[in-house]
Amino acid sequence: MIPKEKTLQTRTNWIARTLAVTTVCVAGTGALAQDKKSTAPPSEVEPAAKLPATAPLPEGSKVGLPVPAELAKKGSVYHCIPGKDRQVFFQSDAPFEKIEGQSNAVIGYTIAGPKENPAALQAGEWHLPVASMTTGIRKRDEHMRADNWLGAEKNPNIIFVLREVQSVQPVGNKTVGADTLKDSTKAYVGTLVGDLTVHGVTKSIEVPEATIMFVKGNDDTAKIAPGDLMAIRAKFHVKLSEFGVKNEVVGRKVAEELSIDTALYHSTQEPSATAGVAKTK
Amino acid sequence: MGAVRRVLVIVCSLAVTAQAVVLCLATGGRSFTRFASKELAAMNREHGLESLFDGAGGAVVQDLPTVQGEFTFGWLPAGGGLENLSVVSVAGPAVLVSLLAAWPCRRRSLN
Repeated sequence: MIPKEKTLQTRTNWIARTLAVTTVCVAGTGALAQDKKSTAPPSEVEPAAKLPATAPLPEGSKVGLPVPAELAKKGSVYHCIPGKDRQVFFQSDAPFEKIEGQSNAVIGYTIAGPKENPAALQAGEWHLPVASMTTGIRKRDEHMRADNWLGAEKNPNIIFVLREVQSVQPVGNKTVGADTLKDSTKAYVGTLVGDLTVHGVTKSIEVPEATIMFVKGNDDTAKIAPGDLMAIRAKFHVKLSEFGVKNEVVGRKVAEELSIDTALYHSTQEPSATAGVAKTK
Repeated sequence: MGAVRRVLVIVCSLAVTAQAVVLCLATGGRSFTRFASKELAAMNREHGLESLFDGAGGAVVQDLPTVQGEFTFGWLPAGGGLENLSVVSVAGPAVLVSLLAAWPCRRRSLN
């Protein structure tokens, strides 16, 4: 028979333990609620978090980058089509899983080369708004836009200015290629040479094996996008430290090199509105 | 704590843990929790531009990879708010409770 005092002591111990566990759980839930609450008043959050979690362009957005008149004279102007299919996919190695993100808000233009070699692009410029890059995880997006990462507030765009395309080659074997060139589609492979600006730092880069494709506009293509169409597919790597992105995480928890895959679709149809982005030249 | 209550607490805690793990595996078993994103879903929807260039001029290019925009109950919390929910944050307290319940509790001798 256990005395009354002993039973009471056992019960007190049990209640104390239960209370401790409950306190831990309630504290955890409170932290959750607090976190949710803290995102509500924008004035109380850090500057990077003031930006919208994601800012993709709405479908059918008709915005573009103004084309300088002197460049427009050089050849057919193709305007980037934002707000539709994804245009940029980026990936970085991290300890638990690869960080992946994408955007469909790239605006820009390119000037095609002469008729016999349209892929020898004369010029081009594209702007990727940092705020449009999304990984699907809100907190991660906020970190990416913070000052010690891409610094979206000071440098709202990642910019690529094309200077030339080197080593342009038509795609396809000779027999098929000859027929293909007569078709309404053409494809070429070349090396894009230009200046990439990330985090306010500009570096000259080369993007080898970029595929440049042309599709002559017709009734079928007009249902999707008006005008003659052009696409540039390119893959390249960006070393974050070379662009001034340095913090305790880069190179340790997150790989220093960012792998970027792009699919930029263009049309000769001029967008109805420009995004108000200042010309870089 | 009575033996029956102790067993009940352990069983319930293990059930919570098991369900969290099953939910994680059923939704892709990814490392971090993420919720369905309308923005990603809109981007991933087929708009037709990509298909217009399929095989254009004989070029063979792979489709651009996609960031999945579906809900994933991850092993680890991804950040603030609801993204804090994960196997670790849900099953962790349950495991703690079951450990406390299973903790051997010696009864002092009455002598």
